[in-house]
Formats: sequence, C-alpha cells, structure tokens
Amino acid sequence: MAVGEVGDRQWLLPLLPTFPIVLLVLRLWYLSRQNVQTMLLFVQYVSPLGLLSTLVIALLWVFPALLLLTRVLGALLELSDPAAAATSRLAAAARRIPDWVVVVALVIGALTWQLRFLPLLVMVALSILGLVVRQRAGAAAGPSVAATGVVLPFAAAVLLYAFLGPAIVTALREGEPVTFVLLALPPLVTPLLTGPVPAWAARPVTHWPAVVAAFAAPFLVGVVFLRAPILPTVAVDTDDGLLVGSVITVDDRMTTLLDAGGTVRFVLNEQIQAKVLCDTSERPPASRVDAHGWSVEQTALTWIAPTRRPTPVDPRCEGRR
Amino acid sequence: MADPIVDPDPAPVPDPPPVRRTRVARLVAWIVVLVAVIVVAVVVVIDVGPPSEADLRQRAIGGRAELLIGVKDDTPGVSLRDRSTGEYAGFDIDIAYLVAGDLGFRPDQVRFLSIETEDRARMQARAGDGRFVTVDLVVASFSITKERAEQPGVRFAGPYLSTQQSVVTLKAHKPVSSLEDLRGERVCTLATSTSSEVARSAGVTLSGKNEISACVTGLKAGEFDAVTTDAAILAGFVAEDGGQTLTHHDVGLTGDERWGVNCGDNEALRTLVNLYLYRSAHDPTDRRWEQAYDRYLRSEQKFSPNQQVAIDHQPEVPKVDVRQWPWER
Repeated sequence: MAVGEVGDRQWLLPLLPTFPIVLLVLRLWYLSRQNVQTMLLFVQYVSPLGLLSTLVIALLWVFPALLLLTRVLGALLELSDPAAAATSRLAAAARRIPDWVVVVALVIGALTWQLRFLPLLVMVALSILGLVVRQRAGAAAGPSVAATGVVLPFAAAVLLYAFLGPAIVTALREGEPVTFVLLALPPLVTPLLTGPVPAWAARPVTHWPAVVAAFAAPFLVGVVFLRAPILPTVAVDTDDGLLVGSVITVDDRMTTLLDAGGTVRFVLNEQIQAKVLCDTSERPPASRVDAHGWSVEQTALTWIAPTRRPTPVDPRCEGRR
Repeated sequence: MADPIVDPDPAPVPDPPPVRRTRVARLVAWIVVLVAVIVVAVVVVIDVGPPSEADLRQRAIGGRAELLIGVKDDTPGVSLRDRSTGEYAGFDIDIAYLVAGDLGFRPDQVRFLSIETEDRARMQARAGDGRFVTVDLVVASFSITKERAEQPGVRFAGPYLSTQQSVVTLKAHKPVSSLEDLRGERVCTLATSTSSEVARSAGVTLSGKNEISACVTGLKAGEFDAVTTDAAILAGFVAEDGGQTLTHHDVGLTGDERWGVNCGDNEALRTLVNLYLYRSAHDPTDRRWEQAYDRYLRSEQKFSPNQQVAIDHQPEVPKVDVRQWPWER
C-alpha cells in the first residue's frame, strides 16, 4: 500500500466511532419496540456512559478474537507466500499490530472467554508465536523455531489434555459435539499450525476466513449487544397491582417503567409499596460439562470473582403477589 | 516437524517432497480448524440447547396471578368437594398442589374447578357462576392412553399414579373374578372412560354416567349390579362406606391405568409438570407424593383387601432436559 493511498483514506478515521454510536442507537430503538416517542424518552434518560459500559462489557471478548485472528492469518500469509503478503492488506494490518497488543489481547481473552474457548485461545497464541518466531528467524532456523514450533505445542497439548481430559470424556458421554470439538480439537492440531502452508494455498486460506470474519463480526456484535440487558428489571408492587418492567428513571415524584408489553408507565412514588429486583439475565449453562468444577460456559473472570448463587425467582417477578 | 528451513521465496525453487507433504498437512489442519470455528460460531450464536426452568415458566404461566386446575368433585379419596365449605380434598388435589407449588403458586393462588369426565380432554371446567372456563391443568384421574394423547389439545404430563381397573358390587353379590362373570348384568361406569371399552367387550349391559358417584348411588339403590372403573377411584367409595355394603373385586385385568396431568396445548407447561414430577420421584427428601399416598390411598387399602388400590411408589416419568446450575444436578 503506497503512502499516498493511506493518506487519501485518512478521512475514514473519523467514521470509526460511528459504529458503536449506531449500535447504541440501534439498541435503544430495539428496546423501545421501534416506537419513536419511547426512544426519545430513552435518549433523554438513559445514560450514554452506562450504555457504553454495557457495550464494552458485552463485547470485551470480541476485541481479542478479531485482533488475534488478524495477527495469525497475517503471519501465516507472510511466512507461506511473502510475495503475496507484500500486497495484502491483511498482512499489512497484521504487521502493524505490536507484540505487546497481542499479549494484552491474549490476557483479555484468557479472562473474558468461556472455558470452552480457552483451548482455541491457546492454539491461536502458540500458532502466532510459532509463525512469528519462524518468520523472524528467517533462513537461520535454529533451536528457537523447534522449541516454539514443535516442543511447546506438544507440551501445551499434554497439559491441556491432562486438565481437560475428564471434561472431554463428559462431553462425549453427554452428547455435546460442540463442546467436544472445542476442547479436544485445538491441542491436537496446534503442532501443525506453527509453520507455512503451500504458497498457492496461502492467499485463499488466509483471506477467505478474514473476509468471512469481517462480514460476520458486525452481525455477531449486533446480536450479542441486542441481547445484553441495559436497564434493570424490577417488579413494582403498587396500590393498583403489580407491574413488572425495566426502570427508565426515578425522580422525586415518579418512577418511569417500560413494561413487558413495551408500554411506558409512570407510577407515583407514594403508590409504590415495594420493589423487587428481578434476575432475568442469569441463565444456567446449556452444557453439563465442567473441568474440575469450572463449568465450560464460565469465564475465568466469573470463576475467580466472588458470585452469589441465583435465588429462587420472586413470585412478584412472575406477576404474582 | 520436518521443515526447519524457511524459504523466503518458494515459487522458483520447488520444495523437496517431505517439506511439501508437511505443508499440505498444515493446510488441511488450517482448513479443519477454520471450518470448525465457523460451525461452532454459528451454533453458539444461534444458542441451541435446552430451555431453562425460568424460560419455561415465562412461556407456560408468565404473568399469571392464579392457576386454574380442573379436578373431579365427587370421588372420595381422589378428589372430593366438601359441599358445605367448598373445599377440595384427595390424592389428586395434593398432586395438584405439588405441581402448583413447584410452579411458584401458593395454595391460595390455586383455584380448583369441578370438571366432568368428558370435558377433561377439552379442559373445560365449570366456574362457581356456572360458566365454562378453560383451565390450565386437569388433574382428574385422567388415564393416559394412546388415543387420548393423539387428540388435539391433549398433552399428558406424568404419569403420577398407576392403578388398575376393578369392580365394586354390593356385599350380597357373588364373588367376581373377571369381567366375564358379570355377563348379562347391569354394570355402570363413566361414559368416556377407558373402563367402558373393556367392560363392553366382556359382554355386560353397560350404562354410562358422567359422574362415578352417580354409578355408586345407583348401585346402592339397586339400579345396577356392579360398578367398574379404576381401583383408586372405587376404593374411596368402599372406604367411605366403611366396607359395610360394598365389596371391591379384583377382576384380573393386567393393563395398568396410569393417571396423567392434561396440560392442554401448553407444551412448556407439560415440560415443567414432567420436570416437577420427575424431581418429586427422584428426590428422596421430597415426601409430598408419599404423604399424599399414605393419607388418601394407603388408608383405604384395609377396606379393599382383595384389590390393590394403587401402586405405592411414584411411576417413572420421562427425564426432562432443562438448563441447570451445576449445584442443582
């Protein structure tokens, strides 16, 4: 890519923050059930900072995924077909990612990815390490290439299988093919992912996944964000009956709620006898597999951090007193 | 891995065969990994997997303040309505409370409505003011059969009790050891019940009533020679009578009558009822079923020495697949 070409595209940079803004507006529009008046009410009361933090928390795991994918595919192309890499935007993007950013992405991934995806993370990490070491060593391949390309992946596979072995067996027994593949496949193939592929295949095998990821990522991000709750759900016990909905705002006279049907309700504060917070977001894991008590659908962060067991649902959250 | 040397420009110089093979193997590995990642991403985003109990409750009874349950009102021991207080009592009532309690309804949030035999499939019960109301559940000594389960609007959860067809006559009647012994005699049963088909094929003169209490009253009045239906139902009448005028006969039928809970069109509710019955059957600390059995059915056994009232443990219920927290398993 010529310098002039990059300079011409500078105007694209200010457009970069529009994606999260569009997402946030879309989220409010979705929450308002496409009602403009309701959406305007949200815009007035819902804190942009709160929304943004929801966005960041819901999508924190996407950042390492996209970054590591770019880095590993770029390195693979660079090593397998240097001629093609010279003109490839993927390789150029990968080259620009500093090593410390990769390390930060790995740490974030290790904390925010569910256990079932961690073997995949280890696989990508070792693959990047192997490819980059081999690429930087150039023709002078020595013990470092053998160590990162062969010894390390095998050692990691042994450790991972030792830790995940019982979980892999449980996944087979419980009939969960996705969990089985996620736990068993990455350690097995990692030793093969640390070196170049045939030059003729390098471009398609790196570019096609990158294109698919580039198209799929916005949808994935959108789906994840639209599912993330942004307002707390409460059951309000009033003189006129029970009301279950999301709290938009509370001022000194009124509580403003969005009920399950998408209607905005204003309730006088003095009419409210009780409020209960409803745990609607906590859902048991779909998978029955765990490794040494660590459920495969739990992230390291939630496993380490103190949690509270979900209490039985308050009947008021189901519309009964 | 036999590829120690990295060739900066592989195009002009062909790779030696072992290197080429290694590179092709790597290509295959990459393709396998990429395909697996795409498949897994799709599956994870679509979020397949069983529903959670909270999802099912939201779907089945979301926002309901009261649970309407259709029950019989004339069957002592199973489901009898006290005419003076309007209160219901019996084995079916305790099972209904068990299910309702697990669904999150307190006893005062459960409303029982009397349902007639032929209305159990349609879930139509009569409210206090005489109007017909569609109930959420029917717990009314409703035997699970293939034909009934195939009817539209019938979804059985359970079974929650396993009993048998039997016969009750007056004490003066000669002993009955099979339905054929009643050939030519006037036998009363419920009009749309499983018992009527078996009795008809035995060649008896059959009368069908809508309420089993009408059959027993007719038997005592000499209108009929015998009454046939499920042993758990008849045992209640024999026990109420104290064994003074009625006798319970074992007619040697091998088929089980397995009572189920009709959940109508509500598949989520059926799944939940099955889940709660399964838990009740497999949780050794949960004694509610056993207490209901002891209180209403085991206590009747001494008045029916020849016929077992019902099997004294909970019948097997299909296991329900729901999302559970690890500590709930």
